[in-house]
Amino acid sequence: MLARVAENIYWLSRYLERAENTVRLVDVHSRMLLDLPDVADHVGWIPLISINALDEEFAKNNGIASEQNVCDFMIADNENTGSLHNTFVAIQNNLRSCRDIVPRTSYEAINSACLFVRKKVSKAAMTPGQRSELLGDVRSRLLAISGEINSSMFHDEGYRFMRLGCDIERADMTSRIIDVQSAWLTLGDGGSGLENIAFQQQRWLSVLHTLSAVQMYRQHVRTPINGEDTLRFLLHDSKLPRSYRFCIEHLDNTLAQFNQHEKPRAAIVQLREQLLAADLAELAQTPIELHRFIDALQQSLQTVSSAIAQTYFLPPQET
Amino acid sequence: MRNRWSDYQSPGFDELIQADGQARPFAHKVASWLNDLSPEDLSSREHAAQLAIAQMGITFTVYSDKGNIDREWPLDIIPRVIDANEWREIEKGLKQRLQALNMFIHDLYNDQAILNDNIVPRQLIETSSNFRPECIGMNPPHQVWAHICGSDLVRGEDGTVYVLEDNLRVPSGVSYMIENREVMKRALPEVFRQSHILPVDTYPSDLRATLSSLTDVKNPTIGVLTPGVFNSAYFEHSYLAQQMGAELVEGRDLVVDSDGYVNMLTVDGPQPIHVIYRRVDDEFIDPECFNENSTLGVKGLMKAWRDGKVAIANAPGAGVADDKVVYSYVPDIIRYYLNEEPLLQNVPTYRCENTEEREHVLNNLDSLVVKPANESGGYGMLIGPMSTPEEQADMAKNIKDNPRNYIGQPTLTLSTAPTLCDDTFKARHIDLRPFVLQGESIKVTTGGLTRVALREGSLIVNSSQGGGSKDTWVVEFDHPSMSQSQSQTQSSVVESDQPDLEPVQTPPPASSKE
Repeated sequence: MLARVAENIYWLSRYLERAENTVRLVDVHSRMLLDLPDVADHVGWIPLISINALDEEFAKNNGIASEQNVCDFMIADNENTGSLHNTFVAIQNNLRSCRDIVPRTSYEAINSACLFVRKKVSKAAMTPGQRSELLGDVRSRLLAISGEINSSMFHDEGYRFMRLGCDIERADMTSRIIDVQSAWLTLGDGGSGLENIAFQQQRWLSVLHTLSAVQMYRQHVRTPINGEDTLRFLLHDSKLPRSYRFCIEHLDNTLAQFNQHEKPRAAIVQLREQLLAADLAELAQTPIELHRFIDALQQSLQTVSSAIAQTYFLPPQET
Repeated sequence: MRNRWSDYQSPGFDELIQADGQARPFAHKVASWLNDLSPEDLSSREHAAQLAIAQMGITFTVYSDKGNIDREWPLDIIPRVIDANEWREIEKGLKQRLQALNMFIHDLYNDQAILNDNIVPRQLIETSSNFRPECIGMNPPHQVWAHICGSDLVRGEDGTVYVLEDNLRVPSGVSYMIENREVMKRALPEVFRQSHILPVDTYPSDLRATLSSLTDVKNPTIGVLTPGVFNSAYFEHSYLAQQMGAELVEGRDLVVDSDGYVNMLTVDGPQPIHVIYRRVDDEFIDPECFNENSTLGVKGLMKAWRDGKVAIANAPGAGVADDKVVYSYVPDIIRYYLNEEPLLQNVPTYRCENTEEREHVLNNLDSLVVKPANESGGYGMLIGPMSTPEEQADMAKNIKDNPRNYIGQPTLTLSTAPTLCDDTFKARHIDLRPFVLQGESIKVTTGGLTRVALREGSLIVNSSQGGGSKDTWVVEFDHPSMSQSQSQTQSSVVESDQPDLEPVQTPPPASSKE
């Protein structure tokens, strides 16, 4: 497979996963806030911006983080590089360059989703109901695409690059969602009052919700929802599809199938050690430590993705 | 129900409807089927076709000041129908023409017999911007230079088919020919069951066979060399790569190694590539040899080709026969090499280089079509009857400054075909671009891409300038299974669809001797 095309197909997959994450975040977050009528609009909505590290970009054109502002920004804003709209623009651009590799039926599914988003997403204010319907539609399309690719694409290098892109993006998103939670938890009064415990529980519950993991937590962890167990479930569990460990082990398995894989796999070994060495009880108690830990994980993941780029993709063009 | 065809009128020859208002016999079925559609049904079919085009991502790229944008491919759902008997004659003529053209190109870069015998003036070739001295002495496989040719055919008022031009550099449009058929099958499935329409979708495998015949390597790696995602024909490049199982490569994906072979940069390092179907013009394929500023090409590619280490289609230098002045000599070229009379007519052409003919062109700018010798896409031409005095004066100056570079032709009233315009059928001018493949053997597409000028009276069919397209049906009108089909339909409802499943009889395969 051509190195240039491999890079396009890898990014196509990353953006598809990113679109799904954005849909999931906005949707789950809106629903969660319905349970917290007392939280001020701004305090409630700003985490969506922070998860995606878009605080600066948001501040450029927006004042307060109202529901309307944040949702427009995350869904429709064509100046926000991370908006759903622009994610689909990136999907379409990458799709162009690997059109000859993607199965025709998958191409049509992805292309139709791009046309759908372009047509439906506008800056015109959406009611929460309309928004939820739109996000649901986009999500079904993305799931259909993922199924379509899995069942019709030849499971060779091209498919493996899609897997790599998807797992990296997924691991990254799981860590971001936990990270924002650490920022939230510092907002608590730090006391051990009942109110604070309830508040903390609510926060961790929302993290689990965002990652579609509540039901699985209840079935497999069984303890009342708390910080340490939630962190263990989301970071260390080896069967939960969005847990950090699951993603990087998957990543490693995929890499093992390539002819050349030493550099990126060496980077994963390091990342894995770092992940498993964490004292989760301690991290659950000290939000600032949790933030530092997640930060370090993200840097190591970045090392993995650079190693992938150096090993397989076309070197940047000399100018 | 009202007859849709009763007030239909063509300014010239119509491909579907005769002067008496009746459909031509071979188009009778589709004409009556179209007539029976309710207005709602007609517009819902049109809508279905547009939706299919959007979903399938059939686009072409237009360069504008806002950057490059993808436009959805314009397809008119009323097909253009050709009688298979007529088509077989056209096919023979195209094969004859391309064979002669390839012998001509090979001669120009080798013995130059045709120049020495003064059939084609030496000066004309030596001043052609598409003649490449770098190619002199080359002996490509099968002595074929133009492997893929798109010749534009038009029909005049009296029904004669003319060749308007031969595109021997990087002709495009074949992917739209195939996709038009796919879309039509989605939008009008019933008609396909009633008519004997010859299939068009063997082209990608024929192209692959043609390209494979250019190398001794068994099951070679083929690359489609594209200028990139912003090229107007990028859709076609990726389509053909996908359909042929070829790699879609850009110049930056290729390197020539120290042994002089061409390699593509893959995730497992450099891998050999054996045949390059290049969709980049000659002058950009190798910065070492031609345009040194080109970023689209590959350094050392020309040397690799000259040394026989890679095959390139079309061969560099093939465009010399694409020159519109050379075009005027094609009948002589056919007679010279094949000792046959041309089966397809050329449009009468005045060469501005010749003093008398130039005077005739300059005196008749308001009625002639004037074309520059080496442009494509309809650029730089003057259509006399539709031009302003200022445009004519500009053209007169161009001709006087560079007479070698211009030809004049009478303005033909191109034939028309019914086209859906605001829910009614209107006559619009059309042309036809069939594609001819030549490698070890020679093969012509069944029909080709029909382009239609969507504005009333317009003769410009180029999609970059507001043209549309039609699916082109070559139909077996007196095919034996047609009558069988009808009788079975009457006798047995259950088996009525059986005859349609029979293999369609295609013209006999071409042999290399042809």
